[in-house]
Amino acid sequence: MSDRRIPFTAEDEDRIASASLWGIIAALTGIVTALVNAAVAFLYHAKLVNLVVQGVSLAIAAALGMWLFQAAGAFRAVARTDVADKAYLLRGFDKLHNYFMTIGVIMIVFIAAAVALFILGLVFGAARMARFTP
Amino acid sequence: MPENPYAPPHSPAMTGPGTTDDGITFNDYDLERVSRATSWMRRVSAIQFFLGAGLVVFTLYLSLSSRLLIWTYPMLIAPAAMLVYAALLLLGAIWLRQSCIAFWEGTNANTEKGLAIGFRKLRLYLILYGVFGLVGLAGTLLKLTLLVR
Repeated sequence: MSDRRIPFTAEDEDRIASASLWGIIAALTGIVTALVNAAVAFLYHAKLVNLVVQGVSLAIAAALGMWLFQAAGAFRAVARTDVADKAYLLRGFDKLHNYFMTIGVIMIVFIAAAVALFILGLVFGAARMARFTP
Repeated sequence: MPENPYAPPHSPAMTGPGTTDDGITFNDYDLERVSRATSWMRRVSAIQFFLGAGLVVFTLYLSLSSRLLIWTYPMLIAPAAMLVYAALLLLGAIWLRQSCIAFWEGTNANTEKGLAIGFRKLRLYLILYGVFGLVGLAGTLLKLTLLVR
């Protein structure tokens, strides 16, 4: 057993390095976009609700971007070094776990909120119609 | 042939079944770490798939049930853009699912081939989201430029 080198082919190592590059691009663009949106909200729409929403968005984008960046860095080390491939690979998976778990929880919360709003709309709409129906 | 008791740690005599000399072996703790990541990847891909499918159904329902002349040029842009977005969501979900399945099989079989397939699919997914990120950033910067003017 060797934990130092996983015998990927040169082609596969190039693909892993390319995947990590795109991961870094996705992470950085997410963080910069959230920063710009927060700056716009602060400078041009300085209402409390806007600031809170953009602040929360910025915090989430920063956490997601950081985890994706770290995962991409670990996978890049798998491709470009032969020091501790397995350790880097597992570190990358740990960061991917944080990244996808956060995305999954956010998706579930948003879908639950949308379903709740839809049901509330139906209930209140039906009640309103019942009140005005002779 | 008996095993050589003086063999160095990386010789074939020390390798277990299903592994090669310079191959990779995952223990239970390693598999648990990989499993935690792949299970969330699978959940996200499933949610994303249903969102994409829902968007396709919603767009087609709006387009086909509308009494408007939605199939003429200016009205066609919005549903077409929504369908393209939904198609990309579905494609991303499929790549993510293939990636996590390949990662899971590769780590369980202690083979780098499965991992390589997983990275190929993950690369496609990350390219898609990298491009989404670049387009989103360009749109945000454009909005900022218009605001500053």
